[in-house]
Amino acid sequence: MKSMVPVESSIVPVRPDLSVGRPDGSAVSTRGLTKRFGEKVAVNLLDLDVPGGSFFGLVGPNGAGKTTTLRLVTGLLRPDAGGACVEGIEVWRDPVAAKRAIGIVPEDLRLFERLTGMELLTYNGLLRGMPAGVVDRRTTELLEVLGLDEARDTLVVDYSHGMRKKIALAAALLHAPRVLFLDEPFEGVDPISARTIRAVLERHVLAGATVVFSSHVMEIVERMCDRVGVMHEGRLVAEGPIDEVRGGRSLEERFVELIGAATIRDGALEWLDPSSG
Amino acid sequence: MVGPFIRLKLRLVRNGMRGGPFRVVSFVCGALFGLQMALLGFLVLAVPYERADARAAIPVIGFTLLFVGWAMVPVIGFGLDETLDPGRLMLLPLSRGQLMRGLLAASAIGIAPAATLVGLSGAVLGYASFGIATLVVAGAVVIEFALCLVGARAVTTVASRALRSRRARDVWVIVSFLILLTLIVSLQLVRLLDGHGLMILGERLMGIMRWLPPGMLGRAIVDADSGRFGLAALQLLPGLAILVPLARWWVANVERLTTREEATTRPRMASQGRDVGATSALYPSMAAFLPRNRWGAVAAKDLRYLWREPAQRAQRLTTFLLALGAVVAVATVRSAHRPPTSLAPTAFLWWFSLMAMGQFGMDRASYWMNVAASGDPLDDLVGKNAAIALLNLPVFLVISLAVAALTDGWVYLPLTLSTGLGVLGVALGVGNVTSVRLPLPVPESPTNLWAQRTGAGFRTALIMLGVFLVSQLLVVPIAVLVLAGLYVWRPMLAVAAPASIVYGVTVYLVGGRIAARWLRGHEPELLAALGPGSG
Repeated sequence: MKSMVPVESSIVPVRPDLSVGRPDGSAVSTRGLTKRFGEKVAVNLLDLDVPGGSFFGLVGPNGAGKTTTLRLVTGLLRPDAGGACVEGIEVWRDPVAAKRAIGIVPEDLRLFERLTGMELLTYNGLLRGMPAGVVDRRTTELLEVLGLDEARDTLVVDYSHGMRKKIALAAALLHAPRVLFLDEPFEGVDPISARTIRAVLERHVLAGATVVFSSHVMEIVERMCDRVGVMHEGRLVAEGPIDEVRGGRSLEERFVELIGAATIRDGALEWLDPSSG
Repeated sequence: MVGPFIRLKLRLVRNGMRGGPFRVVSFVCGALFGLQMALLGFLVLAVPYERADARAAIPVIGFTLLFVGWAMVPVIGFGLDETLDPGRLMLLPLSRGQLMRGLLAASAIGIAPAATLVGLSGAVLGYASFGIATLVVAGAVVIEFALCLVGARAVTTVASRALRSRRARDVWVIVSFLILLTLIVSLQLVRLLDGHGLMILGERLMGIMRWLPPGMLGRAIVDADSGRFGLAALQLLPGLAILVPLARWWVANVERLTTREEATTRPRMASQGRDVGATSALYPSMAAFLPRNRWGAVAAKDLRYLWREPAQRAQRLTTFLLALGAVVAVATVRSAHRPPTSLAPTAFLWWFSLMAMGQFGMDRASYWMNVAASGDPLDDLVGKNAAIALLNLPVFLVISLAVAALTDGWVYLPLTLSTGLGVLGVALGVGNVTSVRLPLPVPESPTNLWAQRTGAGFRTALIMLGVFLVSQLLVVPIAVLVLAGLYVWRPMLAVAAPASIVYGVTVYLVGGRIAARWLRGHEPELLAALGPGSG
């Protein structure tokens, strides 16, 4: 397992050949992955390797490029340069095979809201060409395990935020993907739902799968992940086993050190003090 | 207080043009079209008519029709500019009055309002020859302009509310049907009139329009021009009097839409009481026979959506009402009682099937689920086509049988059914290509099912027009065969039936192939086009 603390930050030439530098056993690899939106470079020549069977946390401030990276790696957004590989399959050369290995829980949770929870899961299973009997069994079990059984016939539009996260997770797990990508899975989720989601993810990793998730919550990343990548302005500024990245401090302290925290200048926001008049 | 709303709307309009040259082009085209309409309206009102009756009638008819147009056109399908979504402003600490004035000011910014104001201002040139008259005419123009803006929003907001509530929806269906029925019967009555009768009818209609608020504004202009200022000022009052309650009603409905949950969603229990497998729950009863695979699932999901989503439901209800209206029309018009009339339902099927032009629109950004699932996107197209066919073919069959029975045209029924399949194939073939190459995301406003962004309405209209034209051209061979069989050489009808099916299937396959080939390599691009901020 390689350690890169911090990652070389200078711009390197694009290397779309993913066989170069890909360590054996990587579940996810990117080389020179780049995406621009107009003038803004959202992801900048990103080289990333996530070992198979790991619980990988991707952290970074807002706008660091985490969501864009996950969308590029899962085939939802086309990169401007570079490439991504999942379980040894190049996502943009053989998207059909790559997507079989991938499960996704996106951040914005745009779901087919006019379907019930159960209909959404079966729709997703049949989209993936799974046999109806398997879809039936797994749907029933996932709804039960995630505590959505009571709400299985309720339209998703009526689900709470936590329920939406759980139904999206169920949809992502239905085909037992080898690599699961989750974008901010714990954001806005109550502790009970978070606990359920965490238990399901841990169970999935125990079964040999790889989980990659982005998060702002450093405590969760510290508690759950064995590896972490810190993104800033479209690049990895640190990546490796979590203890090495932390370097004896808390992840939050290390994160602030790497990214830099904005400070409030003296005298600012004085009007918030009622006595200021 | 209205200043920030206007600045916000202008900023939103400007920002809306970011994201590709097509947006700028559609905005510019929309502006040019708006300019044409504005000049036309300006000329109609500014021309100094010599005939006194024409001079008196033009403002009354013009103002009334303009108001009806503003109220009805958005609901018919071209949408309404809601760049500044009123639902988003509800959290601001504003009184209803402030909100109302702000929203009204914001709604006055856009291509259609600008064109309307320019058009209406023709009245100042045409009818205000001196000081006080100018004041009255300008007042009438401003009130009419405000009535148009508020009327359009009141109709779309109330209709949006109606279509979200089960009980109100039923009332909406009944009222719409009665209006349609009245229109059909009225049109038939008009057909019976000769020139003199038409003249009398025109005068009667004018008589009604003169007493409606927009028409009275038109009369105020005429009276001001004749120097009857007191009468003119009085006739401005009804317009003013309904403007404020109408605006209050609009804003109250916006508040209700944003603060209350949808009545239709809570009690939904799709599979309650039925011992069905999870996969069967996805399939509506009418589509239970569909295969449990990707295209079957897409068809089942679309059928659910076509009824559960308010905007889609509105369109479906309109379709069914039109179908019913067509049968009533045939039943009431004596001249239609000829056997060849039984071929008419084919035209209806073609019209209904044009909904295929934007098949991914209602998926919006949720389409990522299809993109993320490994599989052939051709299955998505086939599933969506199957949903449209399953929705429209039963209606087509019922109309065909009803019309055949009414016209005693049973002999034409096989030809009707086969030409119907032909035009369905053409509509789906064309629709598949436009659905992936020119996607039309369905607007997603909680307060207005017909919400559009400035400039986007013109783009929608442009695409619709293009699809109409191409689809019409491609239907010509079928029409030629049928007409040749009916009027030139009878045996041709025997050829027309199978030939229509073969032709329709061919166009369908070619269109599907073109669309699928592009989509296989461009799913992320289609997803981006359907995402938030597109359209």
